[in-house]
Amino acid sequence: MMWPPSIMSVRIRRFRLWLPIILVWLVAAAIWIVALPLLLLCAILTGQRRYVRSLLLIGPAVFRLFSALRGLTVEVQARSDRVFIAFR
Amino acid sequence: MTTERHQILQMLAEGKITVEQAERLLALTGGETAGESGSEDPPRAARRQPKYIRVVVEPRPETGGDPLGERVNIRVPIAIIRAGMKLTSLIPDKAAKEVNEALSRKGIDFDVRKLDQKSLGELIGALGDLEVDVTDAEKHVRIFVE
Repeated sequence: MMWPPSIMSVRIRRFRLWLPIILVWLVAAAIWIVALPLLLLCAILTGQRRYVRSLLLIGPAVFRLFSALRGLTVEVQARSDRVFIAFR
Repeated sequence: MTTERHQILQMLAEGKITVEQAERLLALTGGETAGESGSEDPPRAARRQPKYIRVVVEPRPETGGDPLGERVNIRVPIAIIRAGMKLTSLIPDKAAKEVNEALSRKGIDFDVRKLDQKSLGELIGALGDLEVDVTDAEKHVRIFVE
């Protein structure tokens, strides 16, 4: 199974930053797990059943998309300016 | 991407060889691979498993470009395409209908929601042959898979 990136590395000139985005997706996943039953219940009670399937599928789909970010790198350099972003 | 291809592209990036020379060398490495195996040409998907799309923009100081000009190097995982295409199944019916009608008006008879796993695999496998090489007086742009 492919897991989402855990660190986003950002480098701007000589300034380096490692952002632990593992925290972002862990928190987002926890919120989604808690909110999903409520959202499903709301959709059923309000007669919006066409959204039930989308609600069930969107979580895994977004998780896959986020997981696919692992390996993405962007590097732009011009003269002394340099920006580097990588998902690891 | 094979080691030979990587070396050729590296030499091209370093300006040791011209684009034409690189093309000839790449053609040769392709021919040798087919000849060495002695077997039929394998399917594209089996031949290469592209993992990333790479976009490289470099200045061309030898033809008047700024040697300290902008350099761009972007590596996009192919997995994003797979994951993104799966999101198409979540497009609401009304929106999908409008998209399909717009595509149809352009002469493209295609429903993105009906793209199955096999077709997607073939599509991504075909990306293995992707190579775009654009050169002007100041910049050299390459798009390839690796």
